[in-house]
Amino acid sequence: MKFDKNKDDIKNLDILKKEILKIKSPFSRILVDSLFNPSSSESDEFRNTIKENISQYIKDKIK
Amino acid sequence: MAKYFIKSISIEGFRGINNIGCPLLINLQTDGVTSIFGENGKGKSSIFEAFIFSILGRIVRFDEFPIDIKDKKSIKNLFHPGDGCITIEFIDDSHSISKIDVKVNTNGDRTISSISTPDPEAFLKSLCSNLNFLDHKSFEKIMMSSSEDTGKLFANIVGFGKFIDIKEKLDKISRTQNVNNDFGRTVKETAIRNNKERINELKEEIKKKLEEIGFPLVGSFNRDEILTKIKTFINYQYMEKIKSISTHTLIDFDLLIKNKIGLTYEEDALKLSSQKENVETLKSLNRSIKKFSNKLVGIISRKLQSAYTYIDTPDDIVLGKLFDDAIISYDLISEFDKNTCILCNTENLGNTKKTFYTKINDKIDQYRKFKASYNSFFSYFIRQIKSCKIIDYEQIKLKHDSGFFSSIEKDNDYLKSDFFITNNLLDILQEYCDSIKNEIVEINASIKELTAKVPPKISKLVEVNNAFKHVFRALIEIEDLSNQNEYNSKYLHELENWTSYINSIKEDYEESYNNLMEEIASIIDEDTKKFFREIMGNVEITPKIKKDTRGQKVNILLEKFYSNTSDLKAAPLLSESYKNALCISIYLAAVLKSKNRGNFIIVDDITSSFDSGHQFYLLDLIKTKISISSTNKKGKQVIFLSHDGLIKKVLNQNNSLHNWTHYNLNFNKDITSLKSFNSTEQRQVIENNIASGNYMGSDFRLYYESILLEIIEKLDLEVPFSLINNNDNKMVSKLINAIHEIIELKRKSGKITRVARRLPNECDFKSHTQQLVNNLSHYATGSGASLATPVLIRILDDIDTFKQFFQYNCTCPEKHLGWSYYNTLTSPLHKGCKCTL
Repeated sequence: MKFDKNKDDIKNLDILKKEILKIKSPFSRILVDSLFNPSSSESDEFRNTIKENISQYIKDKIK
Repeated sequence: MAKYFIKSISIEGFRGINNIGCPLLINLQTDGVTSIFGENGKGKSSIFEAFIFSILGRIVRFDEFPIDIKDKKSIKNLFHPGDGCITIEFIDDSHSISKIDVKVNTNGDRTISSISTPDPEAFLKSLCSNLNFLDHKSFEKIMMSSSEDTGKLFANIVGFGKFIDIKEKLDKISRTQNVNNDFGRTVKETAIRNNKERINELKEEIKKKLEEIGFPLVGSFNRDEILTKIKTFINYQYMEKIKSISTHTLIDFDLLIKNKIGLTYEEDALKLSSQKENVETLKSLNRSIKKFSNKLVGIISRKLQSAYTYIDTPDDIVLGKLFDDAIISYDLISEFDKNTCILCNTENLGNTKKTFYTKINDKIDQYRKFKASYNSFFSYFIRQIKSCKIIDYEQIKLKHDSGFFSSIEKDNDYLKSDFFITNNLLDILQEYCDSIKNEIVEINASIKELTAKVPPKISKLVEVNNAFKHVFRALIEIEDLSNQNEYNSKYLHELENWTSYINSIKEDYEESYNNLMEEIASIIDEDTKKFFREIMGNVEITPKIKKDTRGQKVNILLEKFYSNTSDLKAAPLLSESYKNALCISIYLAAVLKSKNRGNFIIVDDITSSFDSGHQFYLLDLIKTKISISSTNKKGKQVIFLSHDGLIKKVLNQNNSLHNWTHYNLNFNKDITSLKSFNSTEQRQVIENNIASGNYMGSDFRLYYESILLEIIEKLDLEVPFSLINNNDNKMVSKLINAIHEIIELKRKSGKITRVARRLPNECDFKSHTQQLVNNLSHYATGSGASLATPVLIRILDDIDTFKQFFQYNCTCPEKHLGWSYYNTLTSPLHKGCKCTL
């Protein structure tokens, strides 16, 4: 990924979002949704969201 | 994306600004600089904080206050009835206005409302960070932070704070320890390992059991072979028709054997079998208890002693328990008297050095450290007594809860520091082992007796039946453990996919973020060098901003320090003044790159720690390179607050510039007001003061100084800034000398022929100014003057007469300007003016 110093952080974070979604992995959607979810603005809240979402994904997959 | 500027702010009942019914309204220069001068205590910092509080919702400098002196109630003006109110107006680059009303209640809480902006809270949050606000304390931090923090600061200043958030988030979820905790990786790995060990143990037990009863396994462990053996045994001994067998097949071995041996031998045969099992269990228990060695007791004892090093006396534990929660209440209830006990309300418990709260807080801190260390000791201790099956022994052999170790495990109290000295654990355990030995002897005697009663054939059948029962149960346990391991292995495999995925994202992100920050650091480096040179002059010091290749660390270095040309850390080498100049250079360089929507910076007293002279260069830098203007469209709206008397005159002078608005703060107990500088208005104020008898001697001096500065500014006279020093009494004569010198120089060089004769000559300077200087020196003491009103007005007239040496009366019909300053000395007439000089 390549960020642009002439763009603001919102536009640059859009670049990040697109780059993550380009990766063909089931984790990409989970990561993007959690990373840009306003309810996960604090890093601890984000960590909890990831913990719940990834655990659920794995459980569903190996069920 | 729209850029926002602050159009105005109105303040009432906030911090030091009471202004009841008459809010202090400040209209700001959105396309340039607004400077506000106020001596200490005149409300300048309250204005600065009003901006911060209304936009960020907090007083930033409170962040660093110790909790016991942070009192949010001081946010609202204490003498203002009702809520305080700040109204702040923003204007964007398409001229739309957002007006936000901020109410401050007596608890210092903020309520926001707006008619023009649908979600004012989100709007304010999106504008900027605390780095749009700068005071001299916060800019000092730029250099005095770790290179890691400097890197973060840079990212924040340039408006890439969200990048740091993302980095922290990715760091947090990819950190091995966090993955272990969040997804139970270590627990699952341990479970897999333990299960494997248990499976091997069970396999060995099965193998041994089958050998003992004469059904040895052929080759390696084979589950199906064992199940077939069980099926064959049952079908043969009990005439059952089990066609297929699995670990899910229901087999009641006890019922089968009961039915087979009949009532005569049932009781003794089954008892014999269970007694044999009991002996095996007790022998295993004995071996485990003996693992609790003298060496282990030493380790545990040292851990306990180590916990006790955190407290002074055992009473601190009692106090800690009592106050551990109460101290949180102290923090929450801000108005609670810090010298009164929150539990019993006893007052005056502090002393001159420390408040009661501080003393208790120190003790609680010690207690919490003790508690953490004690908990570590205790969990280790309990783990050991459990792994040595001591608790098992007590639960099996002693009445429930009456065992020595069980009661320790259940007791909520702390063990005393001498616990391992006063209690000899090894003696207690020896008693346990002796008791087990005795029991084994008793059971063996019983076995012998029972063996005599039960025929060997029956006894053998019971033994074989029980062995198969044990084997079958072991197979079920193996299957269960294997299933658990399979699930955990799959889970860990998927988790591994996740961790490698997130680590690769994180690495990729960090690399891109590093590259971005490196580019930014290099741009900031360029501007920092330029700005530093402008503030400090052409010194033999060149700063350098360099980002580490890895991570977000940014180093502030000196690439040239006099004759040294290798990179050196800047902070330890630079004097205070140079350090401040470098900090502000870095800040301004970074802030120009800011992508924040709020296109403004608000700075408070940033020149206070500068040496004489350098603050003028800084002002010049702000004027020409930092503030937004038609020639510097990438600049920022600058709101500049200062109490620095040295720059007061320059600020007044700057008021006449096109993109600079200056205010002086006037203050009385209840009202803070503003007055923009204008010499005509200033004269009017002094005349009013004379009329009401409220004038000061210094009013005349200030007026004369303002006029002299106005002359320098209007005629663009090349006087050095260094003439302005901190000795106010000499200001007038120094300015006059400077003006005189430059005029004489120009006169002698023949460059001002048109006005040379009209300008004051040496004699004029002497006659017109000597008396004034004398009077001003006399009145500069600040005491009330005793001259009559006409004499005082005459002093003002003399000053204005002197001013007219540098003016002409424009009467031509084309311009008709009246008395106005020469355009310049070399080209005195204003554009389009047809007057004859």
